[in-house]
Amino acid sequence: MKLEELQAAFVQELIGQEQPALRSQIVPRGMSPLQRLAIYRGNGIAACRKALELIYPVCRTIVGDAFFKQLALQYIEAYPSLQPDLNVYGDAWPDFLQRSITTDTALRDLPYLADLAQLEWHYHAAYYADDDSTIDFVALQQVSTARQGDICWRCSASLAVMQSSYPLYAIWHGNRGERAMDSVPGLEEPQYLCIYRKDFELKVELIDSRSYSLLQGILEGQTMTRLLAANGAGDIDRLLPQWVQCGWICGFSLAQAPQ
Amino acid sequence: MESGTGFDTRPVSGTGIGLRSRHIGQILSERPNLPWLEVLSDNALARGGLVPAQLTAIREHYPLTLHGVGMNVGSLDPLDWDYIRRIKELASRLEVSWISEHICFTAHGGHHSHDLLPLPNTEEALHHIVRRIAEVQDFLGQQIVMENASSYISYRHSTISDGEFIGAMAEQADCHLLLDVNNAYVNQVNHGTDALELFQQLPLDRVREVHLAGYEDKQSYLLDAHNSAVSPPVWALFRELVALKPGIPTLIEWDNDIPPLAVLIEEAERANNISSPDEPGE
Repeated sequence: MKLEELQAAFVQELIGQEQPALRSQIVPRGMSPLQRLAIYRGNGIAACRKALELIYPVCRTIVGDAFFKQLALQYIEAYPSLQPDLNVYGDAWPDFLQRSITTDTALRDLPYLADLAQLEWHYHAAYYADDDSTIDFVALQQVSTARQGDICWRCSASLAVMQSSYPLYAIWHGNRGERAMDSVPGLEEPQYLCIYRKDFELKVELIDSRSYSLLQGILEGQTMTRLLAANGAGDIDRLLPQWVQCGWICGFSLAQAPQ
Repeated sequence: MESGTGFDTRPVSGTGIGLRSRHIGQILSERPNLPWLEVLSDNALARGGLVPAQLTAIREHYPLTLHGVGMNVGSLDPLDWDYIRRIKELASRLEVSWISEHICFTAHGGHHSHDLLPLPNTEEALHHIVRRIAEVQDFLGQQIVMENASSYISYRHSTISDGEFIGAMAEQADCHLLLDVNNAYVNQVNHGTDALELFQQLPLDRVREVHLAGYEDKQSYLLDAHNSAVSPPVWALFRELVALKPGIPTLIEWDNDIPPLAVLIEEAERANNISSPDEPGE
């Protein structure tokens, strides 16, 4: 059996596709080829499940260990790992949960679960995000008045924002222990959150809708001209200095000037 | 090959332990008398935040080595140069004494198994892995250290023994070896091979590091679980290895159900007592 054929067949077996040619090449010695291949399949699933458990501990607390394992297995089968680094595995878990909420009756009472998973993914990503440089004030002062509208601010690499129709902050905070909270508080308005890392500490903070809108625009790479048009000068004048001060904004670039 | 980027910048000897995140704070505050520590490269790839800061602090006090599972050296997939570049940057930043990897493939067609998948011991596989190790070494600018992997599968079409395969690979690729005694024992039980014969077939002058770890007895096979103390048969094989080639830097690996640091240090002391029998202790 050629090496290419063997490796392709091995990986197919790991995702549940029977490969008779490979099985016939495996020495049984007290165990069937299927049993031997199952050890590798089990190891791979365990590694991915462990990664999901580490990234989504609050989701796990809420649904319970057994159901989390069941969901994780479905996810791992649908989303094979495509990177050697397991810290980047699991980014599609929030979308997977969103779809599962609509199809899995056991999740119908947990409509906020996908949003919670998104928060946990941002939290995990913030932990591993690159360190930030500090803003170059000298270069900023040298930007001509004519080009100031082309400034694109750069947020901290760890920073993410999200909105939710659920009381996400309370749900996340209240379920971080070993036991799930008994009830979920009500919410009348959407909630906006900012997730980031300050020095080595991870933070989740509630922000107002205007801050969310402005930060979202900055994260999308909008120029100052577009930010001013969408958010107004008042908010920008008030919020930008605060965000530079606290490290949420840590750099800038200039968009290409229009021809 | 280019000149080294850090190889042997910090000499390693004696018995070290695998560095695990739950012990980092204690190691930094108590500075236990350990000759070196091994970092799992795949857990240390972040360029920001707490992980690199802690590792930088650790390296001020201990020589470090890097041990990885993601290089996928035995695979027919193209080498992941972005990943290898990150390993090189990490090695340079931490001034590690060497980088080790496994004799296996871990991915094919872009699908990563996160396990050590066994290669057949064939001429084709040998030529392939020799060529790939050479490519990696050229890029890193240093020799790498390749570990014998544990396995649960052997192939009918293998034509040479593990020892012959690994020995030829090391000679032809001009790389170093990491001899995992636990893996040798796991394979002995799982495949009926002879661990001692493996030791005797290897070019021991190329063995730069020895690993000791615990397995889990699953009744029908041994799982290379790294979740317990080194077992008596593995200690016995380690004694045989020390008799064949004393003084190889040795490492206690414990990755799951990780015990208090003191337990790892006791295991390291036990290994030292075997590898340095003239010194009082055992």
